[in-house]
Amino acid sequence: MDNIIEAKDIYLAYDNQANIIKNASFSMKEGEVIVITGVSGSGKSTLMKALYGSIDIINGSLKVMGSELYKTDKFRIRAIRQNIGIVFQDYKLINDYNVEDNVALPLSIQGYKKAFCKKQAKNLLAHVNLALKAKRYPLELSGGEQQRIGVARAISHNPKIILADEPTGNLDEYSSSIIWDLFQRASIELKACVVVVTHTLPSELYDFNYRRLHLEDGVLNEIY
Amino acid sequence: MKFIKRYFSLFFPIFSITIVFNMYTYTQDLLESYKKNVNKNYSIIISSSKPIKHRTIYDLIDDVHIIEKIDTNKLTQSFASTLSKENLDLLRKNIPYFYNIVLNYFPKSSKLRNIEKNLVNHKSIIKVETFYEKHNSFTEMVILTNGIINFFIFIVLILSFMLIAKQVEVWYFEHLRTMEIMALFGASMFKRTSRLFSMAIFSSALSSFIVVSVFYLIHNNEVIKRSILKMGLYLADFSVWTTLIESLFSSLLVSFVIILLVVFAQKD
Repeated sequence: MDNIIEAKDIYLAYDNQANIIKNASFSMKEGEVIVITGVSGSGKSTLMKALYGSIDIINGSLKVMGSELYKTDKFRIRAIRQNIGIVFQDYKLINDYNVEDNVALPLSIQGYKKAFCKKQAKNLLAHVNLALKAKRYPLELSGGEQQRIGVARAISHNPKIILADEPTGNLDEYSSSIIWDLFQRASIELKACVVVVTHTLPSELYDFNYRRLHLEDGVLNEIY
Repeated sequence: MKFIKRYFSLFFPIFSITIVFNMYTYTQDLLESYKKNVNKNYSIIISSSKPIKHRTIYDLIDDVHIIEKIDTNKLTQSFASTLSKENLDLLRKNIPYFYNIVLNYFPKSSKLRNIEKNLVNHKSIIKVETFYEKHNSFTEMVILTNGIINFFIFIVLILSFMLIAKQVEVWYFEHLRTMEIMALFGASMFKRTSRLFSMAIFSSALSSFIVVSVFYLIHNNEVIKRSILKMGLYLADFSVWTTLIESLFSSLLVSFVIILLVVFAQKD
């Protein structure tokens, strides 16, 4: 089975500053779950950004879905991103769109018909227990609810990769368990690679089959 | 309220472009009709010592519509009661040959001077009357009026272009966060700005509809119709569909070009 993500000796930095990530290597096959841990400022989010092509690597090789990210053109980056579902720590929901439209955003970007987008959004909202709030706007909801919408959006288009940056950082146990349950189902049912960045390992992970990478002083190590 | 504010931000500049475009077409049609009317009543008169072949005049002037020989008998007949038969015969024998020349177009003053020069250079032609002074002051007035109208239309168009560009820029920065989120999910620039294009389509359609209605009323207004006819002018029939298609096409073209220029000037 081919690797979906393959990082070899990568270096990451912002605008010629000191390297944030040094010589990191890891790979992922479909259906795998990786949890990246590390203290605040250790470069977890930077590594995440590199995975969806928001920052270029300084050195090394980073292949996502077979494409060398920093060598590929913006059209291919767009195509890769359409196969990625991203969950942000600050939710990044569109405040002008209602909950349903936010969840259906990746599908509408890919040109699916409105009726299909709505149906898919409704199904996912039922999964995250927000079916009754489909017509509400993000700012009318709590942080936990907004993050559940963010997760529903990230899996709405059945992506090959799910990237989650501190998805349950400030959430209550109820929202946290729903989110982790969705990640588990995405990895098993959709065979999606799930990369979760977190500073502490949540209790929900006890029932989880996952790999753990730890970032310390810019060095990435796998913990067995 | 938000919907109205959002959609009408592009409506007013697009509406002014559409109405100005139609005003320009309308004034140009009126002007053309005016020129045709003036041309119909305008001719150059030449007198010559010998009869001139029409071919000779065609060689001297471009675009001649009609050449008429003026019947001098009618002119001399008015002297029949006051002159003796011998004198009348002598007058008839010595009176030059007169020709009335009608052109196919309404000449500019400089062109008229050229025509006069060409005709005078012919050895048989004694005198050329182009009614230059009258013609000159008239054409100058027409050209000036047309120039003033075109200048104001140009200013309104420039201001409208700038206003559309500004509104597009404002929209772009207001929706920057939304577009960034869409980009993270793989949306193209067109997809990210699709709402802007739909706003332009809505504004163009609405402004074309209003402008066509206004011009339909103008064309069918009895008072305006009578005034135009009184001036001896004639305006071609108003075609709702042609005007609507022209207005829609021009407003869409202008707004889309400005949107693309502003959007692509931003960093992708």
